[in-house]
Amino acid sequence: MFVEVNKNILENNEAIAQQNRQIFRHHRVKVINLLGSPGAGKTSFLEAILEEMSRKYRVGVIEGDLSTSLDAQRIARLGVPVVQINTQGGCHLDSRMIAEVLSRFDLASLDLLIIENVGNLVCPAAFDLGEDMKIVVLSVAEGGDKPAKYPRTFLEAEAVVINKIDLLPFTDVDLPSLEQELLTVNSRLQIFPVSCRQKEGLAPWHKWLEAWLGKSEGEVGHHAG
Amino acid sequence: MAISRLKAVYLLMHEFSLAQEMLSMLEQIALEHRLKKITKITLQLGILSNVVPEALEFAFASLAKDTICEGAELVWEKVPVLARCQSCGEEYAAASAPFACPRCQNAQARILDGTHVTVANLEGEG
Repeated sequence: MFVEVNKNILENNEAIAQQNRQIFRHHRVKVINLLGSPGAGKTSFLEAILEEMSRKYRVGVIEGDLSTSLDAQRIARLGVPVVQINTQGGCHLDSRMIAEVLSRFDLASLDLLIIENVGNLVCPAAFDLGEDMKIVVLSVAEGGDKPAKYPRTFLEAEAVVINKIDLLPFTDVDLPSLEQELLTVNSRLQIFPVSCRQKEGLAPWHKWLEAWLGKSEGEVGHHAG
Repeated sequence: MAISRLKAVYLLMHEFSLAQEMLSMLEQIALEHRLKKITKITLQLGILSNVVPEALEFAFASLAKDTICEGAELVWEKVPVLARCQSCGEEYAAASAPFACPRCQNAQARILDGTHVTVANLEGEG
């Protein structure tokens, strides 16, 4: 017997992501999916955002990691509501994991929810969580070839943060060429070279984020799948 | 070139979770069509799906043991990226990165297709 199917194998994930998205819309909370390799500086960048934004906005955080709650402890120190998800070795967060922890936030009281994904540039890109936008944190220590190697991640992102620019003299990365490389994949990308450690270059990012937070629902770009 | 051990573990973890999703979907379809066994599955592999077919086959074969999908043959068809240029509106297919628009050369692709693995059809026994 022959059966015509035509179903995406991640159909379940996408259906739950859409439910998450509706819940976020209902509570008027904007959601960022933060991606990047292990050690790129996602948590340091998140701390920098929280230090600036939690004075003006109510921000919540979901921390995704294979194991441990070290990152959640770092974030909790800043007085921000945070939930840790351990994927037990899984290489990405999926929409069901997010749906399961949403009840632990008072969503109605939040303006922004930031989801820090598992450190990985490959798998998280395939799993819609219900976010409004994806931001990629890249570091100059990883080398300049990432945009060409992981095009999907950069095609779907709205902005790329190039971290650890204080290490540029010690790497072979040429910043203008890396930026050009990123724009070759996706010319709409906003690019922010920063050093979270030296607190350098963060002001333009904060300004851009604040402008995005001020946009109404209809103007916020998101990828529905 | 050989992939590192760490990378191999990552890839397998990824494909295992996808294989599990696929298996649940197939069991549901088998139930709807009263199939006792699924023998052949045709899959469409989007070139931006970030899926390694060999790894998915291995994961699927392992998970499918003692299920209606045990021993099923997987057939792959590659799907190119289908994109719409946000700059000039052109819709086009592209087989490899960086997916720039063939008409205006701008890299402002909104990806419409080529990011998924889709079960196209299957053959089974009632």
